[in-house]
Amino acid sequence: VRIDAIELEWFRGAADSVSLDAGDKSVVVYGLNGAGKSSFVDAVEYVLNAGRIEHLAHEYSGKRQERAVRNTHAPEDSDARFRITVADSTHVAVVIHKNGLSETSGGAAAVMTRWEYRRTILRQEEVVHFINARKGEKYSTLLPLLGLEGLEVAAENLRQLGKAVATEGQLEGLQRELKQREAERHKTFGGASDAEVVAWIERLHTKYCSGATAPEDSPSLCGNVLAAIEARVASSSADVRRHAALQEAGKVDLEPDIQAIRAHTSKLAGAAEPLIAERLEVLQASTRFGAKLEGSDEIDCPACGRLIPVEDFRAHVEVEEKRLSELIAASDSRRTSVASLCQSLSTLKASLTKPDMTSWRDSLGEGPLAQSLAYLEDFAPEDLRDSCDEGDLRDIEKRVMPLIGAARSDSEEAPPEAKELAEDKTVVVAAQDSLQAKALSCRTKRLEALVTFINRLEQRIRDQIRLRSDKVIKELSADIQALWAVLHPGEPIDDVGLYVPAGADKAIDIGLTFHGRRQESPRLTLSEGYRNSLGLCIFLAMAKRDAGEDRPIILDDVVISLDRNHRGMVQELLRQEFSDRQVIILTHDRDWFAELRQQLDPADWRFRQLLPYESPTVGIRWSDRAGGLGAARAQLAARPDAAANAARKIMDLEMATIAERLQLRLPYLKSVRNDRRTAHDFLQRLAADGKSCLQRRVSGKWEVHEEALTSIEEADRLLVSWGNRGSHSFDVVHAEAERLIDVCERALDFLKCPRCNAGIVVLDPARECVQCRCGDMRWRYGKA
Amino acid sequence: MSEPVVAPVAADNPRLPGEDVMTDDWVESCLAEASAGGEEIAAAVTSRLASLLRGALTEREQPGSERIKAAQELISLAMAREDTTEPEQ
Repeated sequence: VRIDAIELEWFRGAADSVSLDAGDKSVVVYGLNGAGKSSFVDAVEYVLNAGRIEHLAHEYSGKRQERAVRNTHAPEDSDARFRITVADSTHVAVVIHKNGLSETSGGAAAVMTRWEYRRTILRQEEVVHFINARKGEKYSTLLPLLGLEGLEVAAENLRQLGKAVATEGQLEGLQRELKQREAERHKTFGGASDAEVVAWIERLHTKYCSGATAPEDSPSLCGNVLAAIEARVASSSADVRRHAALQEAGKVDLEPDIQAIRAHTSKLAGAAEPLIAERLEVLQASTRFGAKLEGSDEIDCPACGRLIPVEDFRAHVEVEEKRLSELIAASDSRRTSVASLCQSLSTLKASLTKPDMTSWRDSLGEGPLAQSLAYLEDFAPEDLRDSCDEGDLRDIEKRVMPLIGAARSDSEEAPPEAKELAEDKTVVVAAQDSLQAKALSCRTKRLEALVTFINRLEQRIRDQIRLRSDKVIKELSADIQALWAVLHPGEPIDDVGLYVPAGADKAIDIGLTFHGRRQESPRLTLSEGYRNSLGLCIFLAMAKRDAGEDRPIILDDVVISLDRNHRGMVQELLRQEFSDRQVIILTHDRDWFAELRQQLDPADWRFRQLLPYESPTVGIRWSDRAGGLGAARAQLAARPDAAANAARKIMDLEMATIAERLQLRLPYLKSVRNDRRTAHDFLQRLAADGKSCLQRRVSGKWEVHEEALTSIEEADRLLVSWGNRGSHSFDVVHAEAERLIDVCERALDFLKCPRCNAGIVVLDPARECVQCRCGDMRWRYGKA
Repeated sequence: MSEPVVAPVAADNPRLPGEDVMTDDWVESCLAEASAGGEEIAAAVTSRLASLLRGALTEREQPGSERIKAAQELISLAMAREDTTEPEQ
């Protein structure tokens, strides 16, 4: 689908309606800087990028770029609007109101939004930016063009999903709890298997529940044995009961929980202050974040507030997330340790306050242990869950732990029966806990398996991205090298192409061989012109991948830094590789415009010239002639001398281009004068040599093109008199300047074939002459 | 070890111009490869992930609320397996 016309009204530089009529052909538009060329490109970009024009995205253009897309001098009641008609006669029409809200209509919108900006439009500044960008930015730029965006989105979504599953399932907490229970089990049972643990409890069942059948399920088995042990203790002597309680109290171990609480508290305290300071900076940075992200290499990280490169942003956020997660984990662990301490203290309190312990409590008398006991009786372990500071821990160490020590010491003298009962009870409780942890273990393992599965799935997709990008990059690189070879034939810079740096993820760079040495980046050796040429090849290789669909390629001032020789090869490239595509070239380079007009086939190409921009109310204007002198004619009314001067300058360029194609031989002039030939030099030689070289075919016979020679001589004469006067003394009247322009235009017209409308540009196979496309006009080499 | 194969793709997806999408077959093979050699994954989980991959996960960056909902759904599917046996320790 090709562009037929782009019509603008109060959009960007346009005032009243102005239309770039391509008529299904490729187009070259020439205009000085600021003439309004890019306004047409902006209209296409507006449609392709859903109302966004990248080079206008800055802090002054407004939320919807409303301050930049509308002509500054548009009448109050006028909207900015444009209409792009495509070759199948459908169109897209966009009306943009003063507030930037827009309405889009027409069937072509759906077609155009599939073109993709970076496969359609290339602007000079984007070439420079791409070449100089970091490898991560290059990857991001090329990602949609490589067709991998969907996969990349899927991989990233899976990565985030894996993290969400771990967070939502509280996997870390489960893993910690499970680890703790496994440690406790190991303390009692060593490396015994579940079956061995159950067998152990079954033996205790036989010991304490004589005659009863052991239940098959483990919880009932443990429950029955525990109840039988409690009953045995209850029916024992007071001495045994007291020692059983002392045994229980003596086994309480508060030390690990207290140390764990201290460690976690210390970790949290150390991180809290800098964390709060950073969070404050985050709040400040977040407000600036949106504005800074545009057009800047560095931003204030919203996670921590530090100044960081944009491409490091994601990685940085990940580090910050990890840091915060560690703090949250420390907080969770501290809570778990406090809960465990509460549980231990409750068990201790229950043991030491049993009626069976009355005599033991009385034996403590009025000493420090009696005070400790009083402290424990008044103590509410559950209160620690709300607040557990260093003071509480010290109190526990000072007052409670001596009680445990005393219980432990006194229980050493316990009768064997009491020791046995206490040990057996410990085993059953541990077995009960351990076997109950099975459900916890099952949940943890399933969550782990789910997270691992999602992570592996992400990895599979990342592998696929790598595979596909390797394949696409290989194909693209071959195309880039082929295009480069056309632009730079026989030069010692080759093997250009894209590559994925070793070990890098989400990165692409450009490699080349420079005078036989492999280079990892064009920035190491290539000049700006060569880099831009390389950028152009990469973009065209991308655009070429859509060869199956005829859609436009728009090149906005992309040869700005190419030298004359390489610039000349661009049209060769377009002719060889893109003859079946619509190409819209916009340039402010008059030399190149003249060259393109000479060389490209008018059957396929149109040439349009914009007049210099006068004011926003006048807007963008076309010259009435594509051929060269429209810019001079535009100045006739106001400044005839300037019009004559402009005509002279235009003829200097036009004739230089023609002279090169015809290989006119001019005598060498000393120093820089040799490079500063004027139209007079070329016209004089053309008129002289043309008598034998310039021919046209009339009724099948070649004859000298007398009319053209007469016109050339006349143009030369007037340029010497009025053209030079316009340049130096400014003493040219309107009639003189108009006559000069008419004559110059006629001379240029005579150098084009009236039948095929082409200049004399086609070299005949024998290299004896150069002729027009239909072969009715020719210039014979070496006949002068 | 067999050579890695570039996934076959559907070429006629109007949603993502110029870009192909994962075919059902590839999604299935991808899930199978990811689960190979690892812990057993409930069929309902793989089915839900396949559905996510064919749709929302490839379209756009998933908003946080949707992600949490999907995560909770997957957890609940993973936990709902009938077989609760635990490997012997």
